Amino acid sequence: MDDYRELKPRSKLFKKIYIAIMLWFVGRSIQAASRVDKDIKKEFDDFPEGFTFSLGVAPNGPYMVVGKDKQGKVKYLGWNRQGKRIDVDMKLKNIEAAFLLFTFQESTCRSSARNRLIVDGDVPTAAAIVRVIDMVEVYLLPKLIAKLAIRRYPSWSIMRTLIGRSRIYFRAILGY
Amino acid sequence: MYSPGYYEFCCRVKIVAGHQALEKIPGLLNDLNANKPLILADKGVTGAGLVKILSAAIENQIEIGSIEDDIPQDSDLKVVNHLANVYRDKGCDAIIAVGGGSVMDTAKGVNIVVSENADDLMKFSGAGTLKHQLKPLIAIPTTSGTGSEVTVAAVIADHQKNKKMLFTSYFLLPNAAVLDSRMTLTLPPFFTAMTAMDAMTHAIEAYTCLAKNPISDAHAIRAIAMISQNLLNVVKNPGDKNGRLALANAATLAGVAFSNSMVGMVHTLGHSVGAICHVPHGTCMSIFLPYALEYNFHKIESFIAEILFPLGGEDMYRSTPKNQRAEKVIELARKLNQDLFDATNGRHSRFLKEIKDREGRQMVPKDKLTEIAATALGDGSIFYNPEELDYDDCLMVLNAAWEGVPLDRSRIKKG
Amino acid sequence: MQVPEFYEFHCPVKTNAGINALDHIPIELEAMDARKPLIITDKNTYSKGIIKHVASAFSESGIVLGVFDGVGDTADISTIRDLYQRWQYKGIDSIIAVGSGAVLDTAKGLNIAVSGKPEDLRKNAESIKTRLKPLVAVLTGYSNGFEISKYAFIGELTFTSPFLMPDLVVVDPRMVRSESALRIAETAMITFSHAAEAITHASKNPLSDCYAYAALEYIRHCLMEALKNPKDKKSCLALAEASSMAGCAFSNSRFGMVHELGQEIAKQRLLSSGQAMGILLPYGIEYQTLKCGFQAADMLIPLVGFNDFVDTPQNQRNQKVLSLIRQMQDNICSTVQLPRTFKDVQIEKEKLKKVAQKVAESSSSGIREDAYLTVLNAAYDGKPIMG
Ligand SMILES: [Fe+2]
Repeated sequence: MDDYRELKPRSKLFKKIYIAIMLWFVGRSIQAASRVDKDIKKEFDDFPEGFTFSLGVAPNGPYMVVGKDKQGKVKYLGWNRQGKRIDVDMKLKNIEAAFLLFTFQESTCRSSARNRLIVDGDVPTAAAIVRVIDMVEVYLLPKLIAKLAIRRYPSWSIMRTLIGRSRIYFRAILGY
Repeated sequence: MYSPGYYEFCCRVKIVAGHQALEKIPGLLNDLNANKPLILADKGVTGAGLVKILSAAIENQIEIGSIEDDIPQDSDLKVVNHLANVYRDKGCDAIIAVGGGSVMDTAKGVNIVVSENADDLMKFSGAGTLKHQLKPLIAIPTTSGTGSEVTVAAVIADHQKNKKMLFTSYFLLPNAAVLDSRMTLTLPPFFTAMTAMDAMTHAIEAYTCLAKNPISDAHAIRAIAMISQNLLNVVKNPGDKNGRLALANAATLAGVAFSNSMVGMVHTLGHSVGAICHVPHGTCMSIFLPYALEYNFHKIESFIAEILFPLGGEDMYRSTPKNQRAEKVIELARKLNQDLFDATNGRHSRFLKEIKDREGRQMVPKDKLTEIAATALGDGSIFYNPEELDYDDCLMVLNAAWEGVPLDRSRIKKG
Repeated sequence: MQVPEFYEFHCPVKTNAGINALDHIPIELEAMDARKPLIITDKNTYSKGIIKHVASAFSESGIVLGVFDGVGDTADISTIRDLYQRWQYKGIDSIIAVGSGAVLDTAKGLNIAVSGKPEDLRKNAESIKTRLKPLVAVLTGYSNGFEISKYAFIGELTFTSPFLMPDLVVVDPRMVRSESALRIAETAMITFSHAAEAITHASKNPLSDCYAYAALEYIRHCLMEALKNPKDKKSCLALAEASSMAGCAFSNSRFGMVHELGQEIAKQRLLSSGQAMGILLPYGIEYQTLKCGFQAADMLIPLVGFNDFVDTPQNQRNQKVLSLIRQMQDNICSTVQLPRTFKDVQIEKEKLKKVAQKVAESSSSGIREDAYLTVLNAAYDGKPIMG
């Protein structure tokens, strides 16, 4: 029957690599920001030791994992979630949804309002993580772009934004 | 018309409504290949004679497996497991849940256990862990409020581990919701007011929060109109059957709207007051509603203005100048609370400080507000609110709502 | 607005509509425990090259997608039989139907066969009472709402069950482009008629009202825009969404005269059902408002908005709607060269008589033949029934 054919969907390698890089950078920045910004540190203080959370894309990644070690330090734990217990698991429903988020075409709130974000785990903790990610975005992004990514741009002092930004960038790139 | 760019909408529950809707249940069960239902209810429901009405309506045509009416207000895993055993022992093949939120949640939990043959309900908590159709479940709401007959979520507590488990899946939806005016006819005025204001809030938040979409908007508009046209009447004349049926329909419409569009800060704050001070949900809703409209005003003025049509009616809409319509809605929300306060001889609270428990003690002491604000930051609904809310914002709104004074809008941080 | 003494409403369809809607299909299927869908479509849709967008949503799943594009103008048993055999071999567990009514009818037929006994397809069954396999409908520019309805027309048989409705309907801007303004007008008139008859019907209910209301709002805001600029993605998306909402409303209300007559005229191959309903709409609504207890006024809000609604005195609302529909028909017809009357397309009155007779025979509405004929004649002359 020539009415039937088979299609092998093409992989979306470019988008996956882009998202993977963004996740890597956000992960390292969260680690950096937890040492630079006191509000972010405070959010993490309430999490138990050994706590982990992951942000990524269903069904096969990429992912990033961030956790709190025994000393209470926040650490970027890499892209591999295999063998790790994940306490709060946040996933975009597909690559395209993640691409919209990480190209700032959709804010976190918009993405969740559009039902593209799955959150599994304790809700108050997940809420705290979203606040942390929002703050990290304020540090990393120029105001014009950050405004697209969050609901309300905070009224931080110029010093807090600028100094924090350079320290977080520096630490995120060097990885400490 | 507002277009959200992308949305999802689903209302999978079959809805059967009318003055004689209960009589349709045997047919519904038959269609689902079931003929021996387990009836779940609570003592309040049986006390009001509602299970008797239900039994009388169906027992000629169908064998009732068992009637279990000892579901407590704070139902938990133990209750669920016990009821699942009853279901199995009596050889039931369907569940009929009669009651409010607690009974519905329990019924959903029992349904998971008996359908998946689960010994550990925990395995199925979270989103999307259920993959198969469950046993037939029919929901009969006895308050016109929660809308839980059409919502996908269930919360079940595990008191031993001091944990609350959240379940969400389309498979948790009842197969049918049966709305019958007889089931709400005896609801006392105060409860009627409280639960209907919960429904009103569902509709208004669905219409104004971030996940709104054209089809849920249509449900919301209709629900708001039906509640505002009937609520005060029914509170004053509890025996008004048509009014009761309208409120029941409105609550379901509002449930459909908000289960698709989600809710915002009225629920963020309301859930927290409920969790810490054990204030009934509907009371919190009616108190916070005007404040949420004030707080989000700068982001959603045009949506609020549109609400004047269903809320105030066409005459008021016509006579209110365009640029004052949104303000008028806030005024009406406050007035509605006042009217309900008057119609219930003061039992319907207008502010947090006047909420009293049965012994007449104040339920929300002012010094609890900081704890409430902190808890609010952890509520999932916070993300669907149009404007950002931080701790200080929550506290500001809580303080105003405690005193019963309008928000000082110059203090709202606008994003 | 009155609440009916009794009603039932059932619409098991989930709608995903808007940007990147297609990309959510895999996770929706997964939630229904399905991983290997079969795509069913027709040659026309396939040749447009849009199936690749559907396939691209599965880039992560690692599967090879089967695509069948052999659906003809109508659904027939032999195609379904072929597909049934293929289903058995390939480990398929769900269906994605892309395209118009015939594609969906075929998909629904296949679903009846694979979910139960293939023999079920031979009876004129109204007994489908259980959930079938996961069925996803992806709307295209041809969609008119029948796709998502509870009806399936296969060969000479009609199947009716809410379980035939797709589990998921997907409306994605990449899929809904129409080839011409004429085509848009034809499908939109079906949407318009279904929504209008659902919301004005004497025995309607508040839930189906909501679907019809939203569909009419879309028509009001987007139809003319789409006709003037058929390439406009936003309007085409809106009209496709409207078609599916009208389909939900239509599946939950009784047939109106416009629908019945339009279908019969199409069946007798006198005119497409879209064109026929487009001609009939003002007269059908007028007649039913005059004689059958319909409330034309109930569609005034979605058609004009709150502001104009409150400015129209209550006793003029029915009239206002009727003249509005006539005016809309006029605008549409002059923009895309659609016929306004049966006289325009030279359908003789004799033939219309036969249509009326046939509809009156088969309808369960209790409306008499002369009533149907009144509407047809008014639509022939293009003159309102009340003069
Ligand atoms: Fe609520």
